Amino acid sequence: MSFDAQREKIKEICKDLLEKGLVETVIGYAEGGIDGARIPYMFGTPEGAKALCWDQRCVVNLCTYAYEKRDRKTGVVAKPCDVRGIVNYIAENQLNRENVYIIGVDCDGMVGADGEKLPWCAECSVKKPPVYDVKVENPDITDGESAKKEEPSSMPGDFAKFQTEISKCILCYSCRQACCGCYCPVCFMDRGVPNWQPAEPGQGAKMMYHLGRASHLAGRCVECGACERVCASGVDVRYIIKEATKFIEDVYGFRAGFDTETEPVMAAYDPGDREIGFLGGEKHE
Amino acid sequence: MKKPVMVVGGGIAGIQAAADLAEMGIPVFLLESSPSIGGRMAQLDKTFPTNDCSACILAPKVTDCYNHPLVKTFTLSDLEEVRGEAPNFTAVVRKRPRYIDEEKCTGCGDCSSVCPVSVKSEFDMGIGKRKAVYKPYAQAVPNKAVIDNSACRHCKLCEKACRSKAVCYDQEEEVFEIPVSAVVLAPGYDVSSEIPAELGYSKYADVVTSLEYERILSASGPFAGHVQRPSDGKPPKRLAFIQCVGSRDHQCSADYCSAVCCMYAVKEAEITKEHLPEAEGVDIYYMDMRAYGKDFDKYVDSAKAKYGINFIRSRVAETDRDEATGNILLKHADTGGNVHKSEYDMVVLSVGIVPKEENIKLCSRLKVKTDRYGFIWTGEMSAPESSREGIMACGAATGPKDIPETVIEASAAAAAAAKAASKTEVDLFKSYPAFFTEEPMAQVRDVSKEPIRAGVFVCSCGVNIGGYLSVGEVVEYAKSLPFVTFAGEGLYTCSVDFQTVIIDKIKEYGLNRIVVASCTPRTHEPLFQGVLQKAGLNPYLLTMANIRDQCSWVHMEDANAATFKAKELVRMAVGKAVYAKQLSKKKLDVNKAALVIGGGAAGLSSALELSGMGYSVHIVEKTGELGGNAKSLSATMFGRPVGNYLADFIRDAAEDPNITVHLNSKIKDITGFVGNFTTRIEALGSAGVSTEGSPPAECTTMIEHGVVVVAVGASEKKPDAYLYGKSPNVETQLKFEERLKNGDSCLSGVKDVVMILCAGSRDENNPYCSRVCCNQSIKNAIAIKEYNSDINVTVLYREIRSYGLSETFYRRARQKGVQFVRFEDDEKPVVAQKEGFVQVSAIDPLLSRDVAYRADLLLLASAIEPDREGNKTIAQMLKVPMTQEGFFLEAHVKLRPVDFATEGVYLCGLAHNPKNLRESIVQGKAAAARAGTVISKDFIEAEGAIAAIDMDLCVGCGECERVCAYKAITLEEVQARGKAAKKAVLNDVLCKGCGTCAANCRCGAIDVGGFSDMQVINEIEYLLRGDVEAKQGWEPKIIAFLCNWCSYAGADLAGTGRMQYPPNIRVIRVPCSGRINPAYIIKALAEGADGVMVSGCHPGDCHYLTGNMYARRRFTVLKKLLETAGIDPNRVHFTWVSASEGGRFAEVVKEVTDKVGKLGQVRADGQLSPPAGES
Repeated sequence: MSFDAQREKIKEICKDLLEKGLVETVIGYAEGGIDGARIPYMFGTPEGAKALCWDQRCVVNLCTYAYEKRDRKTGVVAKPCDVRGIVNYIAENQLNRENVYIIGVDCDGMVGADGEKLPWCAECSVKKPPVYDVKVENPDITDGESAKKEEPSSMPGDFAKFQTEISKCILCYSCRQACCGCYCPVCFMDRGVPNWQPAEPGQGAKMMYHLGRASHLAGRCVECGACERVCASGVDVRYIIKEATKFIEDVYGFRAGFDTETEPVMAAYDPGDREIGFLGGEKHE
Repeated sequence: MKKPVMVVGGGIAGIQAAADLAEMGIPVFLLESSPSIGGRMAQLDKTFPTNDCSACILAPKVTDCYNHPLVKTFTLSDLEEVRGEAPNFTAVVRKRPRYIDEEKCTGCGDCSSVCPVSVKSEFDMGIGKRKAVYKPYAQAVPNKAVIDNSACRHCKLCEKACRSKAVCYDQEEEVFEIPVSAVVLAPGYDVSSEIPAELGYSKYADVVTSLEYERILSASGPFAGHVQRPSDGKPPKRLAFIQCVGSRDHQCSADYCSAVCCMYAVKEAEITKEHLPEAEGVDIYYMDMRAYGKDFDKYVDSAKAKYGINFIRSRVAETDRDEATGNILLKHADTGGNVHKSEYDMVVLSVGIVPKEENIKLCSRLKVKTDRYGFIWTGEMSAPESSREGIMACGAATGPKDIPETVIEASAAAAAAAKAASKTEVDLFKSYPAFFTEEPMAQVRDVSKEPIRAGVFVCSCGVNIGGYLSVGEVVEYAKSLPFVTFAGEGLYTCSVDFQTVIIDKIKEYGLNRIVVASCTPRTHEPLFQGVLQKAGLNPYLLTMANIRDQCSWVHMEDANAATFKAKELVRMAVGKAVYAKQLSKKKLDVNKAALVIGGGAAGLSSALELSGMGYSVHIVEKTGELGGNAKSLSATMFGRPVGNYLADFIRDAAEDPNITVHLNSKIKDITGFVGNFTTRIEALGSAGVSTEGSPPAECTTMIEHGVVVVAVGASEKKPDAYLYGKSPNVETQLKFEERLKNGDSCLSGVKDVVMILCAGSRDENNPYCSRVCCNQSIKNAIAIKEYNSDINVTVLYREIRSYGLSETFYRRARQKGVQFVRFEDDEKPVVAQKEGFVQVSAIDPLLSRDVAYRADLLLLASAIEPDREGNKTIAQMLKVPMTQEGFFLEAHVKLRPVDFATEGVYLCGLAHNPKNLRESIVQGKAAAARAGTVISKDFIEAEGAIAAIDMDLCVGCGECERVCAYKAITLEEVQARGKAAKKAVLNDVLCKGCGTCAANCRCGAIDVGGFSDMQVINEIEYLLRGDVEAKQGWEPKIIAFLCNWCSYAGADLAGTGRMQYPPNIRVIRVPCSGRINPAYIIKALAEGADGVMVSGCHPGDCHYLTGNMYARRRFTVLKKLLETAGIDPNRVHFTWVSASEGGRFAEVVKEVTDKVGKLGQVRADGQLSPPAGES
């Protein structure tokens, strides 16, 4: 099924939802972004469905808008990564399952302005929505193998790379704003007491932020790529979290965003948990 | 206040009884004949079946008991006489001289180091040595020296060495006459010395007893935990355990079973394998494997499967020594009758428990009955009461038993003593001025609006600190620190006169933050907090810097480094003190009623005890009758008719004005928490009668109460094998007993009886031992033989678990001609129906052939099974956990067998685990005592240093609720910013302050008083942004996060043992490794720490139950993150160090310092230096 066919199906579904009053608002994609990227489009009447679009330029993640509209019944056109983001919100008590109508769309990845597949989409193996109220399928798309199996589960730590990446960072916090996992009322970096800012406002602060955020996202990242997409300075924001995500899948058998009922991996334990990297424990592979 | 109770014996039984009584508001005199409380448990390395470190689980109980304001401890004391009658006893106590002034002694050890006399250490069972002036062991409580006058040469070197002037040669014996309301005897046990000569104990150095081996295994023992042979110090490759030495032996005085040796041998075998993974063989020679307790069978199975320990069913005839190898040869026969000689490097004899000689003398003086072995007699149905009214007895002094049984009996004894005391009234301070003095309450000053004025007091501790670093320099340095208004030094800051100095300075300078740089807060924090209170300051404004156990004692060779480190530790402490808050303990009213769920023997026992202590009780029973399973029992093992006792209990409960019985009633729901429960009960019909034809009327009752006792019992499983239900000749032991009780002529015409044991237990469906069946079958077999000795009785068994004193009945049965034939676990007997009888075929292990037994009556010992569904409903209502087998899971299998982790809820009877009638009754009383510690109070106080949740920052994600082991956090609908939202709500009273919730909270909504985020950050920042003048050259600076209960204690132990290690770590104390937010570690690195080290309790040993489990995952993931970022893995280290691993702590510090040192310095501009080898 081509993008066109999927798009028509999406329009039909959304129109229907609003006509029947099953939702108050629908969030989807429409034209009008920079470089031909589609923008988020929210509407409340069946006629509004006409302006919906669906193609390879639907790069924005709509799950964060579902969170914004969490107090009303909302329908969301959701790529699999968006579905995972919404499942995460539900699992963390931020969204009610009954309040969101998930229109899960099969997706083989989005492209940038240059027509090249976006890096996070190229690595993605979750092409079918894991949870949905209605599916918009594309029979040509099949779930890929998890990236973990292609690359080794751990790459040797590269301090120079870390230093280079964070030296580009200007601490604009766009990545935090775009991330569906970051919704704390006051981010730890913005707190006065306790004050996490290190003495050195440059590299030290950036290290605190990126590693601290990574530890908050461990086991929760849904690999949507929004962080890297919005970065103003071209920092490779994803790579440390990506390694941690693969590690957590490898060691604890857990992936975020697939099941609304599951125990979050970092708020659980198994008496037989491995002690990789501990003094006298297992070594990292 | 009630008249005090006297507890004799400072082992785990005495400590438990004393603590329970004190918590019920009843003052206690605790007598201990040795210089330290702690008893046998302090000598153990680990405990079965959890392999917990014994010292780690014992120490908090010992300190709580000793420090309790209502407990007055007399060490080196014996009870001479008890005159009069309860509750107006006069106890005569003889206190032997310590020859050391307890007020002045600081436990520094200077005296022992100069003492020239070395003798065998009793604590180390003669394997290690001690001096004539000595501390019994490093963690002794009280932590004071004592002089052994018989060994002392009176050279007076210790007197000269003691800077506190604590040595007092002219101390004399004292005799006290103390009025008490009741006496609890818990004087403990000895291990058997009646070892058969042929086992070579006195001949061969490498044949040791189990308690000697326990000391060899122990990290604080004579070999520092290195398993080695006494003869040549080499580690053994092959080790054998010989069971039943001095037990189950008619050649010696102890023909009973010592109840614990099977399990402790398996434990010692497992620990051996852990210490020596390369050991070639660890074999246990046994007759029956008595794994009858909760999780015991699982433990033995794991020993076989996971540890590869061999279990050889054989009684060892003798040992011999191979002259060539020096090894020990064991001569034994296997089950086929063939004789072998097996070679071992070392042999451990599992010696039994015997009564102490002193106990027999004590009982004679007290006119308390002992049994024929010398154990203190307690009534079977009236335990723990002794033969003399007002005197209770508990623990191994009344018969061999393990630690959980001991703790249960001790709590039961506390309940019984509390009942006696409940009728008394005294003015404690007027009537006992020599022992209890009233502390005048000082007016508390609110410092919250004051500018911070910190006072720093640096202790010299005699020469223990002052002799190894410059105290004067540290004081001068402290004066230069921000917020410090006053800094001074003292020779002994904990001494009574210096405490006055501290109070004076507080008043003079208006100090509102106090830093004491001295020894370890683990011993002295309560003391200095008390000083602050006397000066009118909130006690939580105190911060301590450990510059002795973790500084001067471990850096004795480098005064410069030690001084430098002390300055930095003081700086850190000032930083922490800046954010100290005036924490308060929230108070909650307590409803003094109790709810007992279940009207069987355990529930009745509990209710009657609670009522006896003066509380009102509701019993909720789902059937129309009280009595439960006991209704089916005919007689106890000792021949007492159960029916009579049960009828008495039921009548007492029905007539008791304090007790309300709700029959035919179900619990609909229970809400609330400790002190404040509300329960809705629904009853069918009225007074248990349902009217014919009409639907049963339901009536609802609401009960408000403060505590819940879960006594819901269990029931007999109907067997699904051996033709049960299909043959008229087959029935269960319980049914048979019921018929015997009802006078049913079930034995007329019967010629052959066969009994099959384990008929439904210890298999895939019920993989546990039902504990009562062996004894019950033996009892029934004896009854059959006494009815008609011509009836053939054959018992087919897997093990005979007639544990403890009931072993004698096993012998009696055999003497009466009962045949006992073993069958293998996987070769179960086969039953075939014949004309009028059944044929039971079983493979006889000696003949290796099938043998057929004719049975007119086949009795099956069926399993005790919990009501899984019913239990689950109760468990969910009360928020308590269940075991895999479907019973309830107590807070701690060893030391809290009657409590749940959730406060205010208690457990007894079959709902806990299979047990016999006596054990159920005793556990019911224990539950009453534990419940009494709550409802005796007018209000309960929360801890001071607990968590607090900021509603504005909380998003209601629920992670904190998941990780709280005490169920102190629930997500509830609250009003926040004008809207209703679900947020985390903390129940202050349930919170223990571990901080696991805070470390998991990404939004930073939770913080912990006394160990707040800002305090930790300040400790890091004050250290790393400090301007302490460094010595020449760079030295790694490593921040070490240590959990208070295990790792910090292990670090202190390294100090008391003077184990030297590099001076590069700076410790930040946290309540639990679960408290450690990954952000702390990242912050430390970002601030320029060269390395970070984190250590907590070993998984499974966490003081807060599960904090370290969550920490373990957090740290594993953080390690991965840091490594991906290219931060050298050798900068950050995670490990587990227990409270008894002083040596290991020193080794870990050396290893970490070494690794970090090789990496070089972190650069001052916040850039982490590249890994070694790169530029």
